[in-house]
Amino acid sequence: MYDEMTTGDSVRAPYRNIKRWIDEIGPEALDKKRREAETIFRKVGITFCVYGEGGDPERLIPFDMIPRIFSASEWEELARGIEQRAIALNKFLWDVYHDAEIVEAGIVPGDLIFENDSYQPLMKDIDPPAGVYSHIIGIDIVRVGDNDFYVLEDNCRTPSGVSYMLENREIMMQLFPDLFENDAIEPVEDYPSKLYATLRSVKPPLCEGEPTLAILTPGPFNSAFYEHSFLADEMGVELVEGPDLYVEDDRVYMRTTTGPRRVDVIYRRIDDDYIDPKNFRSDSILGVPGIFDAYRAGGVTLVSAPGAGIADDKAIYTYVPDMIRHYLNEEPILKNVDTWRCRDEADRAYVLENIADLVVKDVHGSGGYGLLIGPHASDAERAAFAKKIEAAPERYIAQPTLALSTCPTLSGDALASRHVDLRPFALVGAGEDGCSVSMTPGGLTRVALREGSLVVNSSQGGGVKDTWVLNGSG
Amino acid sequence: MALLSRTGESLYWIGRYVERAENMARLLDTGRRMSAVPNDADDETSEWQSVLAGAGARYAFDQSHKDVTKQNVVDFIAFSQANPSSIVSCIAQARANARAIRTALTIDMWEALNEFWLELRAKAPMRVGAGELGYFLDWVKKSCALFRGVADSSQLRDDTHNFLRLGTFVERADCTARLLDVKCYVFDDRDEPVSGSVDTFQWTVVLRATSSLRAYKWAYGGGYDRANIVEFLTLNPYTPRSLAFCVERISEHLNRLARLYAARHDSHEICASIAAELNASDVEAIFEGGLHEFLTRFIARNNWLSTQIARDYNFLSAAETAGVDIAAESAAKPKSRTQEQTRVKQPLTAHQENKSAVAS
Repeated sequence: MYDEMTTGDSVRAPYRNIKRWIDEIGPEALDKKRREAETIFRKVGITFCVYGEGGDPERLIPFDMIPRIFSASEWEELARGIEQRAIALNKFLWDVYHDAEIVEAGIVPGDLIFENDSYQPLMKDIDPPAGVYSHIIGIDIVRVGDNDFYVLEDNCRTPSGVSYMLENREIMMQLFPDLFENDAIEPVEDYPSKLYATLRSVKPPLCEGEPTLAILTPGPFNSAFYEHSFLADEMGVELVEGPDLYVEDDRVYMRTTTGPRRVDVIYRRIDDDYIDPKNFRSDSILGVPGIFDAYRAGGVTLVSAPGAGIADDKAIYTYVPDMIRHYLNEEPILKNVDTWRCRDEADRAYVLENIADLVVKDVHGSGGYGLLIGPHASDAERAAFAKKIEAAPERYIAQPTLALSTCPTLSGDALASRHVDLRPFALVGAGEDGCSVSMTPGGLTRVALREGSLVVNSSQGGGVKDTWVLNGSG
Repeated sequence: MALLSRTGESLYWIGRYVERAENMARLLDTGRRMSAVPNDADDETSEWQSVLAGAGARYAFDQSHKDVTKQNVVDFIAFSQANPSSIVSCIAQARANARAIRTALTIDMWEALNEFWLELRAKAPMRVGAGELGYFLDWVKKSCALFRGVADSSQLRDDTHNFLRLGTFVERADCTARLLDVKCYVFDDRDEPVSGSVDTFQWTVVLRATSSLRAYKWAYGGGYDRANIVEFLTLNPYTPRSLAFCVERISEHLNRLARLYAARHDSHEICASIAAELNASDVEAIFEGGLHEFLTRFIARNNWLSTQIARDYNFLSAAETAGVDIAAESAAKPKSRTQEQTRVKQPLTAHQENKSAVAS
């Protein structure tokens, strides 16, 4: 098991200072600070919402005070790998919504794309500004050893968590200002201005002059509402709900106290299905009728583009390294986790045989649902899952259980090792030749708070940590 | 400069709900005081009856409660979630509106309201007795005052402030008018009561409920006089809870919006006509036409103004009900005294009512 802070008896270089600090301050004082942090989170209202499970629907994400740290060189490598992936994913999206060369070339099976629920036929032959479909990509990465990173999945639709990246840093700086004194840690606070620049760069063809931006939220009942409102505030743009918008002559307008005002770029945090009851699910009350028509006509840019989800589909995931080779003519910098596709007979036989050692995932599942962790499941659970696989093999993929790295984490008033992953955020906008990627050094580190647990999702009892990237000298 | 219509609407209702919560606390406080004074045997019940009437909650109360007891009334007016105008409901709704538009509030405003709500949730419901009610009501009043204060000291004087304050003063005018209306019968009686009588006591209750007992004495000297008290709470432009004062503030905020947006609307005309009517009135004329009739007309016209503000500034609820014309003038006809006027609550849009369907 790889620990981020210590190898044997020695403390790894990036963690030396923080180890000294932890020893000085002691876990009890840290626990007290943790409670202080929770009070601040409640007061500011940094919550996520879970409905339908009873209890208080507005919950805090447990925040762990001990940061997760990368050296400058570790981050540089990760960032290069993420940029490469972000560009390849967008090229793939362009391709599948145009001539689908990658299918012609026999690299990705056509049925996996065209019969996929995430494929959006209405997007065929639409040219989004700068060829960008997925503008904000969250790539989930796990570490199993020194310089040994794997991509667990890509999130190309509307990945959330970036507000925690920013707030975690904010609260750490508030509680422990001394830690940040000598500028050894790369700042993350310019993410909102980078996001603004990214959105601005993809203004629609019909927009002349400065575009008006807005964030479209499903509303205060959505689990990530805090993040929507936080980002709108940080960027100084309106946070709109479906009923605030309407479409007229292929342009989108907000209803304001002085009448209509045009909106040009919409960072929508509503799923494809719900965004336009006229073109997609007609029972949606969250969306804006006709907004897709305006998009098609070039009157508005939707961020991300409808149908971008085909790129982060768990079945497509296995082909990302091939995409990188195909579109960029480069070797992938970041590794994929070995994946067995249950749709292939040989793979399926292997998965059923070895289910006790594998993680099996429903390709349509998310948030840690529809998942079997073989080594942690009971015989009955494995048997039940095996039945599901046999009933609908195309729905499942399997991967080896990775020994996710651990990071010291406060548990009660003592330190314990807990598994972590990392979600950095890549922004993809218009660049000089096509699209360009910008990264914020850091990301969201999620930590499984239960001992031994590998599930880091906040909906399943995961917590978060501040993520540091040390600058060159560190 | 403009706001999302939904933002303007939410600010307006935050103003209304916080003001309403404060008035509910004042109203309960009068009940608490009255019940502490030895009176006829029936009086305690009738005092809590009149608290219910003042809250516009008699009918709703009867749906869920049998006996008008102190505990039941306090539960209903302070803590009931079934009562949309209870203190708990008001603050929950104010906070829900604030959460939806929090970027339009200053951090101080959001934190004041959010903490108010968090603490209220921890306190409610509570058993009455052991003298805690008084402290609780004081705390509610202070929390409302804190929100008003941080809004005054932190908010830009732009349209956000104007919508918030429109809500505050439309609601305050409504509350003062209702409070007076409940006590109408003690004012309508032409025989001047002797000092120290129950009637005099009732008058002081009204003054206390508007936090203006002291102010009244400064304005009119010692001694309670029926006409003076009514004038004080209706036409006196210096009393911060009088109808005239509230209408003047509404007019001021509407005029600021008109300057800001370079547009005047029907609501400006309606407000001017309400102000003119109050201006032209004197207390003798009010008694001549009947105090109850006067107040009923005011409440209806104030509601009409509220509806028109919603239309003029494109509030989403107004867009959904467009075409459903409210018969404002006919509503302004006096209702009989026994007929209860229910309080206006924020019209939910279909969108808000169906929000359980959520995407990621």
